[in-house]
Formats: sequence, C-alpha cells, structure tokens
Amino acid sequence: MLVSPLDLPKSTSLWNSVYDVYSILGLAAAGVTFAVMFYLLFRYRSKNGALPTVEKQREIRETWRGPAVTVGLMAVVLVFVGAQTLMAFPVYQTVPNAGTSPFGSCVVSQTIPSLVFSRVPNNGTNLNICVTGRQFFWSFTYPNNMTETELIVPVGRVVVLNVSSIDVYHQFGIPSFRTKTDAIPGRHNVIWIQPTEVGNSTVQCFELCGVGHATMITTLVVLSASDYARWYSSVGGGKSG
Amino acid sequence: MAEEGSHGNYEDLAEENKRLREGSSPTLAFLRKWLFTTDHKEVGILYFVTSIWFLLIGGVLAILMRTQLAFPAPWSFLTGATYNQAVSMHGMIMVLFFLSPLGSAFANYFIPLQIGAKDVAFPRFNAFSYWMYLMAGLVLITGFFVPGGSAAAGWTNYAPLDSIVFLPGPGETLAGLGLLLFWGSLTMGTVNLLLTVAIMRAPGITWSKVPMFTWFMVFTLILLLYSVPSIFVGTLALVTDRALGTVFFVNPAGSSVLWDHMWWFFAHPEVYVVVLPAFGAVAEIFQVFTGRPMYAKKALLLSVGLIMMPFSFSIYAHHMFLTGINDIEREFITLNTEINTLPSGLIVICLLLTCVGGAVRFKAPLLFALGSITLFIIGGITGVFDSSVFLDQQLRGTYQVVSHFHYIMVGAAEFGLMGAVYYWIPKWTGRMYSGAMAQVHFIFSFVFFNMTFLPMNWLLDMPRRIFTYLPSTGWGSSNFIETLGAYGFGLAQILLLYILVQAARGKGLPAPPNPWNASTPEWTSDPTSYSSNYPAVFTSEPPNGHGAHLTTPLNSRPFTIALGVGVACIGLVTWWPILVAGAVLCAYGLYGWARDDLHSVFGMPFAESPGEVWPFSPDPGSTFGEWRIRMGVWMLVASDIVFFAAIVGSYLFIRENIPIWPSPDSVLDIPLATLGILVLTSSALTMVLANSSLKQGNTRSTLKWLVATLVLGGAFIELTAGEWMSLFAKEFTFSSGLPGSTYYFISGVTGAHILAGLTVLVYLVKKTMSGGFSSSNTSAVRTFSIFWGFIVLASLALFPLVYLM
Repeated sequence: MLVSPLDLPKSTSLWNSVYDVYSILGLAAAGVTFAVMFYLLFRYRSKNGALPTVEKQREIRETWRGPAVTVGLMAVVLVFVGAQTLMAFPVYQTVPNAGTSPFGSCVVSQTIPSLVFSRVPNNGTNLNICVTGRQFFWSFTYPNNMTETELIVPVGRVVVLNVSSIDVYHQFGIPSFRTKTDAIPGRHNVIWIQPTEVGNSTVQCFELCGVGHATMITTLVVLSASDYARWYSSVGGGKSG
Repeated sequence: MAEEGSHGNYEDLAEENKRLREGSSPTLAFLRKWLFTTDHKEVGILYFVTSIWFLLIGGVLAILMRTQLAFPAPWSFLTGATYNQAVSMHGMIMVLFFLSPLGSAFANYFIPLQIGAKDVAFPRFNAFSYWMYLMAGLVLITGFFVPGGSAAAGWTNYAPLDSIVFLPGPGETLAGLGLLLFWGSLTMGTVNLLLTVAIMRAPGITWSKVPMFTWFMVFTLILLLYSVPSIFVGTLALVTDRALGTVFFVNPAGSSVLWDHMWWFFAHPEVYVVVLPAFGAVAEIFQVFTGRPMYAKKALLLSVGLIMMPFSFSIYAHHMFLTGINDIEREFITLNTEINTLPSGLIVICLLLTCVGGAVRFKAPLLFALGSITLFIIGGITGVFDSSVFLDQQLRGTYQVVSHFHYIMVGAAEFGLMGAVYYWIPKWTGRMYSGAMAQVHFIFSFVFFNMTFLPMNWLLDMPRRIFTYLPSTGWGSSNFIETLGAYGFGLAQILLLYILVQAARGKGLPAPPNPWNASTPEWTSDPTSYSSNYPAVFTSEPPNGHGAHLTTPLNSRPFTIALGVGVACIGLVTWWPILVAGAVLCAYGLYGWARDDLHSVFGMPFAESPGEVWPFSPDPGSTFGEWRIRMGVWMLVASDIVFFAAIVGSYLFIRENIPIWPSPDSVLDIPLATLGILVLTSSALTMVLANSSLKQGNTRSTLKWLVATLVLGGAFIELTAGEWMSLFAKEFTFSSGLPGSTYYFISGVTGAHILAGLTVLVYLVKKTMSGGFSSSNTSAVRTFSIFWGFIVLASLALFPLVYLM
C-alpha cells in the first residue's frame, strides 16, 4: 500500500504487523482445520455407498476431552492475538507529545460530553484541526479558524483531528494511516496522525450518508515544514506537493 | 384465546374441513387450502416458497449492484440514489425476508414431527405469523413504487439518515412499517414454536432425545425472544419520528448512537438466529451421511446454550467500536467476541469428528453441509480480524467486512439451508431429484461464491456502499472479477429453481419413506399422505383417538387480519381511504376470531395428559389446552419485559445525554396522572376479586368484577386521552422536542397495551354473560390476569420515570 516500511507512519507500520500476525495465525488455523477435514473425509469415505455397522450407527459419543482440547487450542491462539490487539491499541488512544494548542471553531451542535476528547492532553507542538463532515464533503478548520476542503499538514508534526458532523452519520477515514473514526452529529471523536513523508493520500467517507456518499473524497496533502508555514500564513494559497 | 373444542364438534369439523379442501372447483379448493391453512406443514411450505421468492428479488438487486460496481467511474448503470436503494433493500430482504424465514420454514414443518407433536401450540397464530411476514415483505417492497423510491439508509437504517429530514419520501416509512409487522410476526412465531418444544413433546421425547435441528432451533428462538423487543421499540420510535414528528433520531441526544444500541442489540444476535438453524440442519446431515451419531453432543449443546447465547448479547457493540464509547469497554468487547468464537470452533470440530468411524456418502445434502462448514471457517477467521478493536480502526466500513459477513450469511447459513432443502425435499414431495444436477449446483455455487467474495478481503481501503470509485484506486480488476463471480453464482441458482419446480410438479422417481437412512422421527411419517403426523413407529394410539389422517382445521381469520394490517400500512403512507379499508378488514377478521372462540369453532384436540414437559409442570386445575395458553402468555410477558426494558434504557440514555429537561410539573398534570395510575392499580385489584369469585363458582360476582375492571381500565384510557388533549391545547405535542417524544411514546405504548387488554376483557365479559366460565373452567380469566397484572406493574414502574424525574 505505501512506499517503504522505513518511511511508514507509526500507526501504519504497527497496524501492518498486527494484521500480519493475525493473517499468519488465521491461515494456519484454516490450514490445520482443512487438513483435518480432508483427512477425515478421505479416511472415512464410504466404499460403494455402504453404511457403517449398526453398532457404529448407534454408539453414544459423549466426551469432554476432545472439546476441551479444541477449546484449549483455540483459546491459546485467541489469547495471543487478543494480546497483540491490547498491546497495540494504545497507539490510537494516546497522542505523543500532546500539548495545549487550540482548536479552531469546531462545530458543536450540542454540548455533549465527549469521553474521547477529554483524554487527549495538549502541549503546544500538535496541530489541532477540526474535521466536519457534511453531505457530501469534508471541511477542515485550522487553529486560526480558516476552513479548507483539503487536509493540508506539515510532515513530522502530530496532527490531532477532532471529528464531528453537522448532518448525518459519516465516517472519516485516512486508509494510508490505518485510522478512521465515526463523524456523528453532536459528538466529537478524536484521532491523530503523524505523517513521515511529503505526499498525498486519500481521505474518504466510510459510512453510508446519502446519494453522494461515494463522492465524499478529499486529499491529505503533506507538505514540508517550510511549504506548510508559507501556506498557512497566506490565506489558503501556495499549496505544493 | 382458542378453547379446546368439544370432541362431538370435531367429527363435524373434520368433515367440513375435508369438504372445503376438496370442494367444488379445484381453483377455489386450492385457494381455500393455501389461504386458510393452519396446518404446520402447509404453513412451513408457505414460508419456504415465499422465502425463495424473496431470495430472487434480493438476488436481482445484488446483480444490479455488481453490474454497477464492475467498472469504475464514469460508468453509471445505477445512480447514487438507486444504488443506495438497491444495497439497503438487498440487505433487509436477504437477511430478514429470505434467510430467517427459510429457517422458519424447516422449523414449522419439522419441529412438531421431530418431537411427536400433532401441530404447533397455536396453529392459527402460526398461520397469522406467516401472513404477517408476507405482508411485511410486501409493504417493504412497495417502497420501490412510491415517489422517492424505497428505503435507502442501508439495511442497518442508521440515524439520522433514516429520518424524514434526510430521506423525506414514503419509502423509508414503508420500510419501518414493514419491519414492525415483521417483528410482530417473529414475536408470535417465537412464542409459538418455543412453547411447542417446551410442552408438546410426545412421551419419551426427553430433552436428550430431541434431535439436533430442534435443539438449534430452541437456541435460535430464545435469542429471538430477547432480541426482537429491542428493535421493536427502535423501529416504533423511527416510525413515530417519520409519521408523527417525534425526534428520537433527529435530536443528537438520541439519534445515531441511540439507534446504534437499539439496532445492534437485536442485529448481532440476529446473525446467530440466521446461522443456527442452518447449523442444526447441517448437524442432522452430518450424522446421516456419515452414519454416525453426533460427536460430543452434550459439550456442543452446552457451549452453544451457555456461552454463545448469552455472549451474543454482550458483544453487539463491536459494531460500534468507532462511535466514541470508552476504551475499557471496547477492549472488553474484543475479548468477549473472541470468547464467542470458541463455541463456533467447537461446532466445526464436533461436526468433523462425527466422521470418525463412519462411512461418508457424498450426496448433495452433505456437499452443501461441507460447503457450509468450509465457508464458515473462512468467514469466522475474517471475523476475528474485525473483532479486534485495534484492527477494526482500519477495517470498519470496508469491503473486508462485506466479505466476512457474506461468508457467514451466504457461505455458512445459505449453503447449510440449501443442504437442508436437498435433505428434506424428498420428505415434502415424495420425489427424488436429480443427484447429479444438485452436485453441479453445489460446485458452481461454491466456486462462484468464492470468486465473488474472496477478493474483497484485499480491498482494505474500499468503503462499503459506494456506488462508484475512481479508476486511479486500482479497485477495478477486483470488482470486475467479483461481478463475474456474482453472475455465475446467480446463474447457478437456476439449477436450484429447476429442481424445486420439478419436485413440486411431482416429477422424479418416487422417494422411499427414508431415502437417506436417517433415524430422526420425521422420517418415519408417510410422505405420500403428508397430512398425517402419526408415524407407524409410535406404538401408542394417537392421543385424540380419531385415527391417523387428520389435518388442522382451515380458518380464514389469520389471512384476513394480516391482509387488513398490510393494506392499512400501505394506506398510511399513500392514500387514507386505503388505510380505512385495511383497518375495516382487520377489525372484521379480529371480530371473526373472537366469535370463533366464543362458539369454540376452532378446536385443537390435545392429549388429556401431556407428554414430556420438563422443566415445567402442568397445572392440575386446567386442561392441557388451557395450560398451553397460560404458558404462552407467560412467554409473551417475558418478551414484553425486554420491550419495556428497551424503553426504559433508551429513556435513561436520552436523559443522560441532554443537559436541559423541563421539570415534569411544569408541563404535565401530576395530580391527574396520579389519579389515573390509582384507577389503573385498582383495576388490578378488581381483577384479583374476579379471579377469586370465579374460583368459588360465583359467576355473577365474577361478572361484576370483570365489568369493574373494564370500567376502571376504560377510565384510565379516558383520563390519558384527556391528558393528551389538554397537552395538545398547551402546544405540547409529539414534536415538542425529546420531552414530548418520550412522554407520548411511553404513554402511547402503555395505553396500547391496556387497550389490547381491554379488548380481550370485552370477550371475557361476553363469555361470562353466556355462562362460559365456572369454578372448574377458570383458566381464561386467570391467564388474562397474568397479562393485566404485568401491564399494571409496568405502568407503575414507568410512572416515576415520566412524571417525577
């Protein structure tokens, strides 16, 4: 999906590695189960449609050992992958080097306490942007209250995105960073990204929101620090990259 | 309230029945038989044919969607608007109107046969459940023909897109109404079938002898009993939003997240409801076609009953991982969802180990059963990815999820149910189909299914429910292959239709009574005279002593009432005279049903002593027929408790999210309301007195107290109506924000329950006046008291929430 592992943002590389662990274990589990299945079907296939003996047809087969072994093996795998999830999950929850820089005028349709927002501390080095979903485009409000329809950010900074909606249920996703969150009217959900490379990637809506759902696409534009500073100080001008 | 018919009446009835069914003109006889049947086998066939019909509609919608997605923009075979309708209707039709009723079809036909029962507990309600299902589907698809098109907010109908603000046309309202009818159908069917298995098992059919299919159906029915009330409340609130101007799903204090909770509390258990009947059939098929009994049956059933069932209710919020619920809960839900994988894995392993020591015969039913298990393994594993709160942050809303649930819904459930079709069709029709054609059907279905849904696992960036995508995404080649797979899969189902039509026409070799060498009870009944439930193998005389060839009587009321309800729903959103016509038809049917009962027209002969009823024990003071009704009411009350719990839960959710709420005494007339609740509570007291009078045999006194209850209940309704009128005058209406919405909803729902009770009470009064009750015939009055007591208690519990908070 992206260029080279070394240049990937942290959320992306971590997600990829957890996904790979799940994939390997999943394929292995499927492989073992299918192997057992094919073996049993072959070994016990009927010769010319013959039935087993009457004793075999009537035998009561209660046992707890086989089920316990099965459940035990499954549990081992599930505990392992569950641990992978629980260890990786904090990366979405905590913001590195969080600070106290302001958000621009986030759309607030109703003052509903947001659990997510309250646990994101601020320390001044983050770029806090308000994301507002509406039928059928995204708008991004910067700390200086300027609103754009593209998400333009500097490379290397932590960008905190405070997502909401002013009409229906949308979902704000940046696949290349392996992150998304629901954009719900009256609620604020916070996610963060830290771009590692200059370039563009897709930002899209992932929840059915009406006839224009498929067109609710925009671009994440990652600029170098100097290009970004130049763009930010001029009103919406000077984009590059 | 079906009373047990006197036996003298029954011979006349059987004669009348025979005459009506065989009648003068074949067309009329055909219509009478299929419109008015209450026989579980015929109702099962009705469910089957209707579900296949909905499969075709849902399938056509799928083909339309895949045609649109085959090529990137600017290809526009469907527009955004029509695509959204297609995807929403496809989902609702396939899950609710095809898969679930297909399970019901087999349940209706085979549960009584597998447990040695004459029919289900309430045959007329059974027929009524079917007709309500058909009407529900028809009301839903009427949406295609109204301005603005059908529902278009996804099969999940998320708020606020599903509100009148964003989808103003009647289509979404028709969907809401159709769904309400369907929830009603499900509730009745659930109580009916569950009660049948609970207390109508023949002597000797203890729980350990109950076949696997019936066991899995019991689990399914319990899940339904507790999950449907939640969405019943949600859908009712959606319909009042759209039709009456309440704001549950428009005001952000409720809206998206409130709907999410109410919907997913139902819809997550619903996926098990869809899959478990298929697994029940698959378990039967594995045993038969390997020639071996189930491996570790007890462990399997316990794991499903004790783990899968309760856990399926606690993990629904994995559909809400990104809504903003707190982190600890989300981690907990990941772990619980993983735990729920354990019974699934055990099902697979137990089925496979059933082969050990057996002789596997690869006939069509087993091929589909193997296909079901194979695809379930793949789908189950992709589900583990989605259960991870971490991975879901990327996977939510993408085609990986679409792949996962199609592997379960189509792969595990539909393939399993296709296996059930091929397994049981010889029993239904007495004919064998072409085994080779069925095997070809399997191979093509399996290959094309994977071709359609496997590539989706790699479309991790592609959002769901988009009608088009840019060429630069590179998704074009995957989508094109998936479309070819969909076309292939669709074409392959022509083979199924051909086989079904040929079987229905009576073509094919005659099937022996037990072509597969199965050992469950349904195979021992005679297929050529399928109206008989009494197999040669049961050594005891059929309990009613009337001989082997009996059918449950014809009755027109279920059809009439359901038709009236369906027509009324359509009239509600189109033209009011149609609404009136529907309501009149419905009332006519209800009146007819009540008259039938007053004159004991519909009589179901029951054994004088019941068979296996553990863990229940029959009431020595009632006949079996009467006890059956009382148990049914208890079960309905259990479901109703969840219904009111959903109301209370939603109300508290809203109150927690909204900072400003008017104090009740500034809007509502507390003294008047207090008077009302006191009046209602005293009606419970008069009901108690009615019961004790009847027990003493004092029918005059009974009549007095029943009438008193009626008067007090009626007074409560009048006081409530007066309350509503004065509030309207003060301009506090349905659309007065959330305070208005919640007040009128709670008051209205409670009032509706009381009105329903009063209607039954009128019947009881009439029957008492004509001497229908005595000290030895107290059951109907006692049964009614259960319901009445429940609704009075519920009203008392709701009173402080509405008037004092």
